[in-house]
Amino acid sequence: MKQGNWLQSKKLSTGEGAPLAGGSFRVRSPLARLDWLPIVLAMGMVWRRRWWRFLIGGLNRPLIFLVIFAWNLGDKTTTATGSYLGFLVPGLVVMAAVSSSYADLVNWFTLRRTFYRVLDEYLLAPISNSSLLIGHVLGAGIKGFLTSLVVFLTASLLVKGFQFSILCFIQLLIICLTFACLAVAVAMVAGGDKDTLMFTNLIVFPMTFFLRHLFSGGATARPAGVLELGPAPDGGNI
Amino acid sequence: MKGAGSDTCVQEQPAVMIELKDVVKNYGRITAVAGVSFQVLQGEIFGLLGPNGAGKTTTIRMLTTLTRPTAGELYVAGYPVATCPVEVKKRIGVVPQQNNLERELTGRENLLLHALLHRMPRVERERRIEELLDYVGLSSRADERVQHYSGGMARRLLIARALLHCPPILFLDEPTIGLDPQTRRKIWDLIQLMNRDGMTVLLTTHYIEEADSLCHRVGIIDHGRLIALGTPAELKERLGNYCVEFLNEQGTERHFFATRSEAKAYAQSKDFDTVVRRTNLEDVFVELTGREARELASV
Repeated sequence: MKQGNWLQSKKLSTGEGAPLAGGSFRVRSPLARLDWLPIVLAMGMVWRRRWWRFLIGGLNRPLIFLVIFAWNLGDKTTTATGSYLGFLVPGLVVMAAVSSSYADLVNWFTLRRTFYRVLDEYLLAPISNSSLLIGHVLGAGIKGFLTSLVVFLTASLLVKGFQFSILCFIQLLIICLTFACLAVAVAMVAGGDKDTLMFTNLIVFPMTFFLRHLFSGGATARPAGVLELGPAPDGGNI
Repeated sequence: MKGAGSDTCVQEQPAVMIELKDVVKNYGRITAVAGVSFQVLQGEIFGLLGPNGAGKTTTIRMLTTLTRPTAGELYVAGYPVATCPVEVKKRIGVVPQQNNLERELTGRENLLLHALLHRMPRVERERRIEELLDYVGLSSRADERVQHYSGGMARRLLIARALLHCPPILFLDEPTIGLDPQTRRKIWDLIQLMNRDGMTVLLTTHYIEEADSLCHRVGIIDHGRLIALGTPAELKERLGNYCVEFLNEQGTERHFFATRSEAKAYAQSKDFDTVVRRTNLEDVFVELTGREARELASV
């Protein structure tokens, strides 16, 4: 229909679910038990449209670190075991996971809540608040996990011989979900971008460094660079 | 009606679609809504009029479950808002004052998202999305991103989104704010069409003409209190059906009379130019809420 004619039809159908029929649809689809799924799908739709922007945002810092170290160390075919670059990569993967899960979501969520008011659309949907939070946390967590996987794959091109265990990937996913939770919590209470920035600088930024210690410092010395879970045994740093 | 403290979601008195009982909302020391009570009946277009900061949007936000009242009881479609928010949300459509569409998504995707959130079955949602895009005249632009839409298009998409899940009650918060006169009139027509199809509509506005031409009944709210309630004709009659208007040193002065002959007699008693006309809703509004601009008055 052309602009200008838009009012000429029109009577909306008033079948089942029509205004005076009670308004709500009686649905027995499996989706009814997955209230959070539309939120994850919506985040996916937005990210799919601008995937390059989010990917560049997530990969930016880890790749700069990688390139600088690879360049300076001058050994582009270094291995995971016993090399400094091999020691660095797990930290960069975690950094990508954290920044992608936390930093992107906290800004996105805060803007959508306080400025664009997009969150009202979700709050007006007949879903529980917990579903709303789960949807956002899962959406951001999955995105952070995928970004960190891309970092890992990119790093694998420069550093040979990594063998991440399945437990390590689970740990990575937990980190992503934890920081996505933190992002939603911060964004829900923050009055604006200044509040989120303060919280990020005071709490989250130091945490990203401490989290790096979840990867054992001794991991790089182990055969084939297999990573372990557990607290940092020492103050091993970059 | 069940009390607000009730745990069960039992629908009662469907003819009263919206009801507020002594509703109060405080933000710290500021009282945004101070004991408002009114009812909206099924099939009515009810307008909430008031100057900026009067408490209109807060009232709508409380009715739509977005804000909790400090005191009082609210019922929508017979359900207490406080204890049955999900039941209320299933039965309302909301057109917010601000465009809160997902700007990165297309018009169609925005509607799809809304349908998913409201758990509409696939066949039903696809049919309904096409139908509504056609209804609001956005079929040809449905696959463009919302950030490229004009204000009027975005507003129409907001209305389509609010109607998607077939709510029996529609809330519109300043539906035509910032729109050109042509688009505004189209939105008015759309609201009347929806009402003709049986929908109950509660809208807030400070465009008097809008309330006068659209609403079956209006409530005038000021400083968080409902200061007048009735049909536009009743409110005008209360003030006097005829108005004598003239300009003096203090500004424009208006006097109201029940009959034209009384108004004419008064006008003839003045030595300067006067205008005799029928009282309009704006006269009622200004007389009740005062003539001072609110932004200036609050400085």
